[in-house]
Amino acid sequence: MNDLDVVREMRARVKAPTPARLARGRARLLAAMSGADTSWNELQERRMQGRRPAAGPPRQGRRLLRRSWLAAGVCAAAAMAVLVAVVLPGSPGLTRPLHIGWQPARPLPRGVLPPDRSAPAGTWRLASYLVPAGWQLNTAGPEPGSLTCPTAATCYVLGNSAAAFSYRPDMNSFYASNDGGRSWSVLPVAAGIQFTSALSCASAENCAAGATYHGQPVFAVTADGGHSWTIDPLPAGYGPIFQLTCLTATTCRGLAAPAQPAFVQFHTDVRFVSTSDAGAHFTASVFPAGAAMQTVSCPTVSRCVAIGLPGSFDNKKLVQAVAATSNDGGATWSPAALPRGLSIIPVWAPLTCVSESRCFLLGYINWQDPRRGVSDLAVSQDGGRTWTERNFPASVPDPQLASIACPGEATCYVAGSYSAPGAGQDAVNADTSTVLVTRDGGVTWDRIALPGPSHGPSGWDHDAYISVGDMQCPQVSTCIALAAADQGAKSVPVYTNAP
Amino acid sequence: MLGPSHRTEPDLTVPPQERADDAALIEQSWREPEKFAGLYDRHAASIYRYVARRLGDGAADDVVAQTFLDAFRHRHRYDLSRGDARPWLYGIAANVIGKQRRAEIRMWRALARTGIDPVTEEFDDRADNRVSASAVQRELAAALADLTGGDRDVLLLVAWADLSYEEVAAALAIPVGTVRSRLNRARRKVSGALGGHDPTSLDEEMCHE
Repeated sequence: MNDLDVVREMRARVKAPTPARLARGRARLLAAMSGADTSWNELQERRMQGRRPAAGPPRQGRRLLRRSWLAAGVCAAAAMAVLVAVVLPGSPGLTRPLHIGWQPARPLPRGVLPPDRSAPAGTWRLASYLVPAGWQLNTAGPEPGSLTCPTAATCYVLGNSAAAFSYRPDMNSFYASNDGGRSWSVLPVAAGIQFTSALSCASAENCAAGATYHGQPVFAVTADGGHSWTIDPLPAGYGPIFQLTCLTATTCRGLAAPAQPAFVQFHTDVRFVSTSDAGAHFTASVFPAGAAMQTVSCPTVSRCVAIGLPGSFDNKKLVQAVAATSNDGGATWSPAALPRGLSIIPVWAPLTCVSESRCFLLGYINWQDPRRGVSDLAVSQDGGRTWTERNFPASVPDPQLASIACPGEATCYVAGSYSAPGAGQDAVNADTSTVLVTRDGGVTWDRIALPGPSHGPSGWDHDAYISVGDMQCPQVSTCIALAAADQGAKSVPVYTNAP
Repeated sequence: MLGPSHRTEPDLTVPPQERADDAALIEQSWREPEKFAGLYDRHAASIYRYVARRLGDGAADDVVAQTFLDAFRHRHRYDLSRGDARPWLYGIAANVIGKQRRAEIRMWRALARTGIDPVTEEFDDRADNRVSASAVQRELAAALADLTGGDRDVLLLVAWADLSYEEVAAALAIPVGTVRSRLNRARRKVSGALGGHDPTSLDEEMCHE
């Protein structure tokens, strides 16, 4: 009996589905198949051309699809119901703001690593571990989610609860650093709160995020760096905010949409939402042709750029992405043109506008063949109205890039993976982590070398420590990056290129 | 070079001679869409067990449904020279599972931490193996959580879907060489995690193809 047999043993113990369960699945498939045929292509073409879809079987099929999925997926979604924009029977519903009083931060054990004084300025290095092993009661550790650094010294991470092994991350942990990510504290989050967007900060202490409170979509705002919060209910029908940008302590803009089941990867029925009084009141607008915008960037109070996909398609395959711009703070929108053949990975849709005119978008090309789809950079120099493609170099084959941070008009860092050349029988070593930098707006790229820790547990690949997730560059010379924990690392490394 | 050991458990719900008809069934569904349900009848049970083992029983219904619906929508692109649709279906399932990578890792970590496996069935006649399986189960779960998504996909398609290297390559649309390197790496980690246990003479058999 060898290792592979032991692995097989694990599956051998799985219960076979009962005939009744298989029969239900078959019925569900037949119901979904009724509207899922080639007519979908026609429907998508109509939507992309701005025409109303033809009534009849496709729409009916989509309703059948949704009903069959929702009905049959109740058990799977039940565990998530507390995390989505559904007010549970009996749960408290906010009708006015909830104020949560000041709470102290608890410092985490210091995982500060000594800086390498001999390294040239700007060298990326391991700054700390967000959650050093030993702090958590369990050995798995949390998976911090989104990184926000409003200044070179102040960073926040909205992350997963250490104790939760739920179907979706419990985004109810709040970590703060006042020294550029070198050391961290944890701040308590009120029971019932789950963050639904990354934190956005207009200053070091004025921040806000989309959230749910016992399932009810809310707006969470703090004026003291997370010690105290005001929770404002969102207007009915908005759904949770999944992306937010705060330009001032009181003015925030973002995207909201009804929550989706776990495996649906993009948002539909998206609204652009805006507040000018720190969440006391909201206004909403929709996008041209019902586009399902997945990401928005507002470099000024009046100027916004949104990127997404044509509205109401099945999210099972990619299509040509769409864009829109606004000059009145999102009240009205005008369609904009993206390069033909450019799509986006909805959950990856990294868009950043570093000024009123300059925007960068990590798109996806060759998506028609799943084996050839790769990341691509689109650059706008007129505030999102028109875009130019910049391919990644041949030295980075098969780029699959999920995050971008641009500290300047011409400097951007991107992170993700690519297919590195292999050795021996291995033609390629796919999913090799990488971070790239351009200093000329995407014309040329250099690869960043990120060091791994010298004292990782035996057997761990170096890759575990260079899978970079979120990056923030609060200054041209200062970037902080959170490494992903997907590869089983028991703590999350934090990188920086600040001295 | 580590290779797959001799199979100890044939896990085929469809007799070999019927698998060759998968392509004919799919081609038939081009003109008669309802015929595609026959593919579900043949393979849903095994796909279900694979998905349930990876994501848990609660998620399996939805993931299996999405797998077959994706397959249905893409049936016109199916390569009819491939008589066996299992690599195609498992590849789609792996893609769907991959979108819930964090959920899967959390499940493995929970099993590693608590030793409670929610998807197993009770055994009456294998009591002699039950204790030893539990002893290694937690270490194995931790090892599976530590694998990269690509390595885990390859390992589990070989171990749980009984696909060959070439079939895994087709399922994941990667070169066979990459399949070998990922499996090698995954098995090395799993062996390392199990190295402290010798439940039933855990021999290191090096099978060469």
